[in-house]
Amino acid sequence: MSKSTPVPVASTYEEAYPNSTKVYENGVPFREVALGGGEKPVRLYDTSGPQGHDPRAGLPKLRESWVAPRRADARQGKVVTQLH
Amino acid sequence: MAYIASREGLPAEFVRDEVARGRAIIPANINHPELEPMIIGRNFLVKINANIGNSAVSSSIEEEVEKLRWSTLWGADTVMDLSTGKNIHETREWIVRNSPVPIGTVPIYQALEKVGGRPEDLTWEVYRDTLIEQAEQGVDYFTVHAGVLLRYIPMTAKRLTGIVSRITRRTSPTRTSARSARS
Repeated sequence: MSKSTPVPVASTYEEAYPNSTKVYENGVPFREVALGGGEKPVRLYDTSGPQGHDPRAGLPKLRESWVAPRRADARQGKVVTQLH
Repeated sequence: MAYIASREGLPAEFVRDEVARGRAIIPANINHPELEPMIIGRNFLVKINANIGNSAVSSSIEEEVEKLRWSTLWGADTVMDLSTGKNIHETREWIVRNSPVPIGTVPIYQALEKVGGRPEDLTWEVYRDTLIEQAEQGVDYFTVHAGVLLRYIPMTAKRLTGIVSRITRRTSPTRTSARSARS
């Protein structure tokens, strides 16, 4: 690892993908790409995560409500599944 | 699993079956609630990992988060934090708290840090405590570097896939072993 690599500044989502919009389908993110020639837009896998947050506050806790019951069970010594 | 199924464009039952059969994994630590769940397996989309780590010269929390954001913006499916040095715990905390993708580490880096970089002082207890510390922070997966004894090297001669050490740095028994194995 080179020690002096400058830290790249990430562009905004809109700058990075000018022909795309981030859409959510049942809470799941996709990158929707607008196509020319009258074609319907295409939805792609999206890893970018929630945008425009303060790094010191962290991201919204998407899974908190899913894992809370499991955490409670684990505290009571119950066997919990990892299959969530 | 329904979330993953939707991302992959597959039925939720298929996701469940693949995990149950041991053909896929969902790296998702209960202590990483910021994660957008994803799956790794032969019958799912190919996933790409990105490595990041603090610089020895300077590295602020904002810089580390920026590297993470840059990586995920351009499609990294998982990110490994290979940071070393004094603020390793705090740096990792910020990365995990800001990551929508699974975060991985190489725990031996921090374990070595704890014993002043001297491999001979490394004990199971130090390594174990490092694993627990990182798991409690929300690290989703680990790369475990196992040392190889010289007398086992001949057994590697007829391996079908060869030996890979992706990460070679710092003074560790692993690095020495990996080098011996290659020669």
